[in-house]
This record gives sequence, structure tokens and C-alpha cells, in this order.
Amino acid sequence: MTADPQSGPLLSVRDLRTFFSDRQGVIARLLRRKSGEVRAVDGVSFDVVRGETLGLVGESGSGKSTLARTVMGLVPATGGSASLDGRELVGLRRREWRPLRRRIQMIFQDPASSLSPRFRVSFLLREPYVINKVPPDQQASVDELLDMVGLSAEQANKYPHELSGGQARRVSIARALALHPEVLFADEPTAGLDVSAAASILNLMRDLRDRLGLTYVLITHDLNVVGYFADRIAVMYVGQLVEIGLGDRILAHPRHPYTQALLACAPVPDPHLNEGHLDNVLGGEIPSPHDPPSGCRFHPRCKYADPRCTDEVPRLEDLGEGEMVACHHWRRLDLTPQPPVEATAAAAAVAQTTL
Amino acid sequence: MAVAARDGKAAAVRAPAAGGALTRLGRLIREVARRPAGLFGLIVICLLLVVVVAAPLVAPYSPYAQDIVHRLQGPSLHHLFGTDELGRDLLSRVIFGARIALGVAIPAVLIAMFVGLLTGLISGYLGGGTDQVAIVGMDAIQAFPAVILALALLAVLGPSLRNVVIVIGVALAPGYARVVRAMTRAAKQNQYVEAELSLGASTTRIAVHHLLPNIAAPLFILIAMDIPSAIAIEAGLAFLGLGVPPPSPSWGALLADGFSYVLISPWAIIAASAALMLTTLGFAMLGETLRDVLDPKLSGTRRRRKKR
Ligand SMILES: Nc1ncnc2c1ncn2[C@@H]1O[C@H](COP(=O)(O)OP(=O)(O)OP(=O)(O)O)[C@@H](O)[C@H]1O
Ligand code: SF4
Ligand SMILES: [Mg+2]
Repeated sequence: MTADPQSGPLLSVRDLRTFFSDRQGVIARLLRRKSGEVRAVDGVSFDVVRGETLGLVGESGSGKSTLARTVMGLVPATGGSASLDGRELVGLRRREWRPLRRRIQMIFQDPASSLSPRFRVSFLLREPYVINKVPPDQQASVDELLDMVGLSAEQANKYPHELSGGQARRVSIARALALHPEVLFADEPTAGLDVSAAASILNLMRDLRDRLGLTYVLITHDLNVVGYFADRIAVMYVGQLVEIGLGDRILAHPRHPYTQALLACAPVPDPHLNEGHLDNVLGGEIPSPHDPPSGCRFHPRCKYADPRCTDEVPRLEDLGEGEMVACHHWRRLDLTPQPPVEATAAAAAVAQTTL
Repeated sequence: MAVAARDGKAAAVRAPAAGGALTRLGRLIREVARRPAGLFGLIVICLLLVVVVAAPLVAPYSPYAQDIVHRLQGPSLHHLFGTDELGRDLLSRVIFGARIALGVAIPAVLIAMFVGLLTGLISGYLGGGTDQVAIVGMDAIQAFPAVILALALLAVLGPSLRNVVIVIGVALAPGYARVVRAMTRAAKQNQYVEAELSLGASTTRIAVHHLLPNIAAPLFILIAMDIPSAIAIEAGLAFLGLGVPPPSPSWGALLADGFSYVLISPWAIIAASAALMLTTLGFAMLGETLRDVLDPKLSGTRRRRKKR
């Protein structure tokens, strides 16, 4: 999917940075003058066009959630910009954010804890309207919202702890979509769900995208998920994007060694197996964003690393058509996975469990 | 303690299951009464409440009526607990003393709770500089033992029922502030707070709707546990002559008076300390049972129970 030349991207992120200071207290700060920083997001740029699904992948701790929370204005950006349809989002005050909340929404990583535990589903589903003072004629009823996400009307009386993970996820999606947003950040929508629940959530999300013309930023560490319905994929590593491009191309011909390593351990269609698996392939752990490696951040784990990689930071090279890669040597490497990635097999497994 | 009963049932009370607040309260009381300590606490407190409300009806004499001829007597059919140095009926004085004990303790604890709740919510939710200031304030108050602080403040303000209430309230407030602050900080970590924020919810809405309900249970426990402390502080102040001024029959004053005549008749001391002990024990046991029943650590087991 390429950018519509007339309207420009719907969501545009430029050099976005989010640093957390890891201060302890007044005394500790006075004693140790050194200001500790966690560079959770460190200079990320990408565009998302209307109707597109961008998959954002990366290991745990690479800063995916922080990136989404920063764009949503939930954590303050340290620098850079993020704009929705030309409107700058970074640095907005709460009051200025209000009208934009209806255009951009997010569902959070943990389905169980993203619903307030003391309220029934019906209350939680009306909340978006109450908070945003939506006139009654523009509100969807609780039944309609439940129906939209494939839940029966009787779920309205349940409390969050009485819902299964998949049902809680659906309620979160209904809450986020109640305001008819254009952009939806979905943070690990399948996290904590078993394979069949995960598959039906993905199917629901795809349906909703097609029905409502939604634009997704789909965050996951599971390449099977993005392989299933992302148009483009952005790969994140220790706070930075290392590669971005069309989904099919990335899955078939990764350019960045890190993407290749991710793919090498992707074909396990069980999200729980994936994370441990990754370490076996890569060796070592993801470096801390508190103290990122010099040069290319991937060099300590990269089998193609040479002295240049330790010294010089690779630029994110723009190859046109929305394709970018940040590696000194990508032109010289042939990284096409040996057994071609079984994304299709994974997608088939997902499709089998469809409702 | 009835450990065996804890698992399933305990969680049942905590869950915000079907039914209104009254049903839930009913279930909570039933759950507390199932445990021996809880039952004891409930009975003592109910008796105490009856006595406090109906003091003039229950007490055989006026607590102030002197009868010098029959002073310092032991228990008899006329004076079940005996009489004090002015010949006043000790049973009646103990009964009216309960009014002072609870009349001071309950408002004092409520004051402490409201002050602590507000401070704790604000400092816990906002964090940063506000939080630091609040912490220093709490430390300053808690650096002194409650009785000493209350004594010092009363010495400045002068002893009166109102001042005793205020002073005890101030001394106990940091305890609430700390608990509320810690709970708020923990509750804030929950993803639903961010989910609410991303829907555009205001800070006030989040605090009132989504944080407060989660800290209500521990507050409840703390109140039950703090009432005996407040009663003890009140008695201590009265014993030292800085409490509710005489001739009010504060249990602490009964102790102090009885102390002067202990060699002639120990009955004033026995009566007043028995009342103090029983009340303190009752509230403490209720508080502990409540903590067992509502223990936040059990929240993980909530999922398992299922009862519509
Ligand atoms: N509020 C915070 N304060 C300090 N550090 C933080 C904070 N939030 C996140 N971090 C750090 O930022 C880094 C990125 O975290 P983030 O949650 O964005 O990763 P992620 O890619 O979403 O990982 P996961 O797949 O586990 O969700 C981590 O090292 C994390 O410890
Ligand atoms: S720049 Fe060097 S270390 Fe980094 S990914 Fe490319 S080859 Fe590996
Ligand atoms: Mg995350």
C-alpha cells in the first residue's frame, strides 16, 4: 500500500524520542549528579496512510508500547513530533487532546487489567460517551457495541473478572471503537490468549478494519500476527526502527540481520513459545535502553558485525516506496531465510480456527 | 484463625458480585461472624453500641450522683461494680464512659481518614514534588509517638472534648495517608488507568471512580484497627489530666482517680481497665478478621470463585 499523494499520511511520526529518567529520590539525585536515562524510544520516524495496517514488531523491551503511549499522549515525549492528519500531537494539553481522542484510540497490552475491575461491562462501554459528553443521538447502545465485537447482550451485566481473556479483549476493542476513531493502536491484541481466541480476535480486527475503514498500528512480537494482516511492517530494536517495508517483502526477503533473526524463530504459531525461542537464535539478551551499545545497537548480537558496526551508527536509509533499512552492510548480505518463512502456514493455522 | 475457611469464601466477599451495597455488607458481616475472633468482635461492638445509645436507660444511677457515705465500696447488689471515692456508681460511670470513648474515637478516626484520604490520593496520584512535601509532613507527625504529640498539641490548645478529637485525628492521619498513598500508587500501575486516560477521563474521574473503590477495603480495616488506638490515646490523655475535663467519666479519668485509692479499693481500676480491654480487644479482633476476609493479597484468587 503506498501513500495517497493528495492527502499525505494520516499518522506521521518524526524523530520521536521518549526518555525516562530513572531517578530514585531527592537525596539520591543530589548524591549522584549523573542523570540516568532510559532511552525507551530514541528517534523513531514512520508514516501510516489511511486504511493501512502497520505492524510494529520487536522483542520485549524494544519500546513498542512506549512508542504507542507517547503518540497517544499518555507519556510525555522527550522530543520529535507525531501528527494526526497534520495536527501535531506532541506537547498538547489535556484539553487540546480531548477532541482528538475521538479520532485516535488504543487498546492496551494486558486484556485482564485494562478494564476497571469494579464496574460492569455496560458501565465500561458507556464510559467513552460519558467522558466525552457525546450527545445521545450519536451514541451506539451497549447492545450494538457488544454485537459489533461479537459478544452476546448478556455479557453487559458481567464484571471484568467474569470475562475470559478473549472476551475482555473484545470489550476493550468495543470501548476504543465506541468513539469511531480513525486510527487504532492495538498493543499485543493477542497477548495472553490461547491460539483459537487469538485467531478470532485477529479475524474480528480484520473485519472491523474492512467494515469501518480503520487504520491500525498493530504492535506485537509475534511475526505470525503481522504476517496475517499487516500491509507494512516496521521492526524495532532497542528504541529504534531498524527496518520498515511491505509485509510480504519483509517476510520473504528481510534486509536487516535483526529482522532475519526474528524471522528465523517466527514459524512457531504459539506466542508463548516464541519469546524464549528468540534468545536461542540470537544468543544474549536485548541490551538495556538505559545503556545502549555503541555504533549499531545490534552489533553485540549480529553475526555480520565488523569494526565499522561498533563505531558508526547506521543511518535509516530511505529506499523509496516506504522502504527503509538501517544497516551498514545490507547490500552485501543475502538474508532470505533458508526455509522460506512459513507465514502462510501460520496464517492457515490461524484461518482454520476461525469462527 | 480460621485459615481453612479462607480460600473460596473469603474471595467471595471481596468480589463486587451481584447485588447492591447492602447485600454485600450483609455477606461481609456473615463472613466475619463465621470466625470466632470476628464473632467476638461483633458481639462486643454491638453491646458497646447498645450501651452507648441507651446509656441513661441501662445505667442504674446517674454517673455524677455522689453518695459519700457509701464511697469506695466493693461490688454489691446495689452497686454491681462498687463505688468511687465520691460514692458515685462505677457501673454507671463506666457505661457513660463508653459514650466518651466512642464519642472521641469515632470522630477522631473519621477526621484522620478524611485528611489521610485526601493527602494520600493527591500525593500518590500526582507524585513528584507534591508527594515529597506530603511525605515530609507525614514523617514530621509520625516522628512523635501519638500520645506525646497529642499531649504537646493539647498543652497548646487546651483540653476540651473538641480539641481532644482534633488532636487525635491529626496524630492518626498519617497512617491513613500512607496506606492510601501506597494503594493509589499501586492502583495507578493498573493498565485500566491508562485506558481511562486514553479515553479522555479527567484526573478527578479516575481518582473517584477507578482508584477510590480499590482502596476502600483497606481503609475499612484501618478504621476498625484505629478506633482502639484512639480510645487508648483518649484514656491516656485523661489519665494524665489533659483529656476531656472532669467530672466527665472518661475511662482514663476513672483509672487516674482509682489509682489514687488503689490501696483502699481496686474496683475502679478493675472496672475501667476491663472496659478498656474488652473494647480494644473487640475492635482489634474485628479489624483482624476483616483483614483476613478482605485481604487484598487474595485478589488473585478472585477469578476462581463463581457464584452469581
Ligand atoms: N514508566 C517507565 N519508566 C522507566 N522505564 C520505562 C517505563 N516504561 C517503560 N520503560 C522501559 O522502556 C523500555 C521499553 O519498554 P516497552 O514497554 O515500551 O517495551 P515493549 O516493546 O512494549 O515490550 P513488551 O513486548 O514487553 O511489551 C523497557 O526497557 C522498559 O523497562
Ligand atoms: S550494521 Fe553491522 S551490526 Fe548492525 S545489523 Fe548491520 S551488519 Fe549487523
Ligand atoms: Mg509492550
